[in-house]
Amino acid sequence: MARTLRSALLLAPSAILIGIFLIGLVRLIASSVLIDGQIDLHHYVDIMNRPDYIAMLGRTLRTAALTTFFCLLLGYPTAYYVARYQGNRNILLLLIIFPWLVSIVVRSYGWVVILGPRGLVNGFLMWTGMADRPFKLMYNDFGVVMGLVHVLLPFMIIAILSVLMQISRNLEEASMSLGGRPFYSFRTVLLPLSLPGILTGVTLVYLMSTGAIVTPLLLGGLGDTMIGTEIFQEVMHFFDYPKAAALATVLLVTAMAVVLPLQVLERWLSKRLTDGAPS
Amino acid sequence: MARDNTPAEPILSIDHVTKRFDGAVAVNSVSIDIMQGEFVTLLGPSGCGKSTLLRMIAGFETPTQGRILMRGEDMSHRPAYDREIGLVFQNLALFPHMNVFDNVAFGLRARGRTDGLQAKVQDMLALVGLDGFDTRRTGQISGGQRQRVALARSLVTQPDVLLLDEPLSALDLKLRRQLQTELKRIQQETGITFVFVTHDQEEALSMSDRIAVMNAGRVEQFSSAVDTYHRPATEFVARFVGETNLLRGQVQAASGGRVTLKLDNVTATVTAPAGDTSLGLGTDVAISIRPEHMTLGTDQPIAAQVLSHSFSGATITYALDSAAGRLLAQVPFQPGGGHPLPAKAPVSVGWTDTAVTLIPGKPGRS
Repeated sequence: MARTLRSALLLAPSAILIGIFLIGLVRLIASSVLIDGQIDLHHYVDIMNRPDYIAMLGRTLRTAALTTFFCLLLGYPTAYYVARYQGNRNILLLLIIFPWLVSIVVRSYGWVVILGPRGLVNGFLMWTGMADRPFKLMYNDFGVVMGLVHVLLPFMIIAILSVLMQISRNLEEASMSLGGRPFYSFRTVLLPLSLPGILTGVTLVYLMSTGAIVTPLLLGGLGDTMIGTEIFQEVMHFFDYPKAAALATVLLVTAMAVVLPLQVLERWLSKRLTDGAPS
Repeated sequence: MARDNTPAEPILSIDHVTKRFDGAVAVNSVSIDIMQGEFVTLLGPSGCGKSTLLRMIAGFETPTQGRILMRGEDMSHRPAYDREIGLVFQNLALFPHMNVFDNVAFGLRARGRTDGLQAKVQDMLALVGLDGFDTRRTGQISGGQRQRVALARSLVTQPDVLLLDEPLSALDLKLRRQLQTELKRIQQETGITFVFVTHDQEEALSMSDRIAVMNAGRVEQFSSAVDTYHRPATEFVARFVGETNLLRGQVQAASGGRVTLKLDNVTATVTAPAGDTSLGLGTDVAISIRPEHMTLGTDQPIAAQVLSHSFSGATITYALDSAAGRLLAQVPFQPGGGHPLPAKAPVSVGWTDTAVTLIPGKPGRS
């Protein structure tokens, strides 16, 4: 009896937190379908009937996918390097986490300094004569992906690093001593064992980039907004809460449509990789 | 690969290998030749460089100086995956995401030798006594069974040399004894050269054909198990392999392959085989006498006093205090021969002359 009480007490804080989140979520969905006490789906119908919203949704998902891809591409080798670093790993970790100490607004503006029409890159290109007018490096999807990768990369690195740190170096050496070349060892030993970390990182980064507001607002083009920015504007500028709620719900559903299969894929893959033959 | 048929060619040659880490010498000019089918043990205390030497043979470290040759071919700079070696890790390093079969099959698949893979893996599992364990997960089997999987995994590719890095150290004594016997059996059945690393001298003596005793990065002695115990070349070897009594003295006379020593602190002389060393008169030397070659009595050369004793069934080992220092004497226990000598009892102690080993060289080096 005492044990049940103790575990109940331990669970209480997270239960309260999850409860509040759930209430918020239900209220959000409710406010998008309930108009004057009646169930009314016209906000959803409106969204579906607006090609610009559909395009925006597509752009959001594409940007999120690209961001996730580049975060993985840059994050995995970094995480591997840190995990196998012989010296003071904490300094490297500090460097990775360091951007989190700076406000996201400041960091995004930092990119304006670098990528802007009068920024470092264009300034250099024009100064050397490699370009006679500035390249459009921001206020488009390229700028948004660049900014998001920068902001979200630490999440990917930390997620993968936490798994890699638990994989003994001996396992890679065992593979090599058995004739496994570096890529073979990576594919058959390191990759399957680090898959949980990869999928955690992918899920985190993907979800955070679909809901990103600040970076697309500062680095994105005026005409091609992302859904997070749109929701922000509906709330802050037009005070259209039901519509914002409907957009948020659409975002939630589409994000889940990717994340849930990812979770299923993780189960399936790890089962296949544990039982099956890696040949 | 060219296979040399002359038996004189070593399968593995460590040729003046030195390894430095940031200026610290881990392995210091080690040279040993290992023959096909031998069971060789690298024995030494932790930090003596035995594991570093093993990692260089495996290809995970590169020698700072010297060469590592296999079948006469220089391997020093060849990556691990291009060497014909097997390695059993101290922590085994079984692949946790694979079952027993896939663990054992890994080396064959990695090298693309998939012809008859099924049969080869099954044969190997049978050899180590794990028939029917194919689909077990490595987390579902006992410690001893995991050892066998690790062994099977590294033997299935028929490596030229199998390296074992203290694989038994985590097991309890009974299981360790059992696996020692089996390891030896498997080595003899497969005819594969084993290089075994341990800090356990009993394990080394019971399993090895030859033992390389290492200390502070150097090989102090490389000889058969019997010679390592009975003819220690240095004080370190005498002390590290088994218990011993070290006595110091000066050469008093040398003739006919034997030397007579005047011992320090006690009025006694000892005659020992000089071996192949020629020693000038007055040279400082040490001798090693194993406790079981000591004799207790009343008219022996050194007077001593009993400090304590330990009884082990067949024998009693006395710790003695004498002018020559602390001595150990192991004597057979005679049933009905009365109780062990009590502490402080005065005795005199001597030795069998033929069992005395002369250790030339600087005294105190250990």
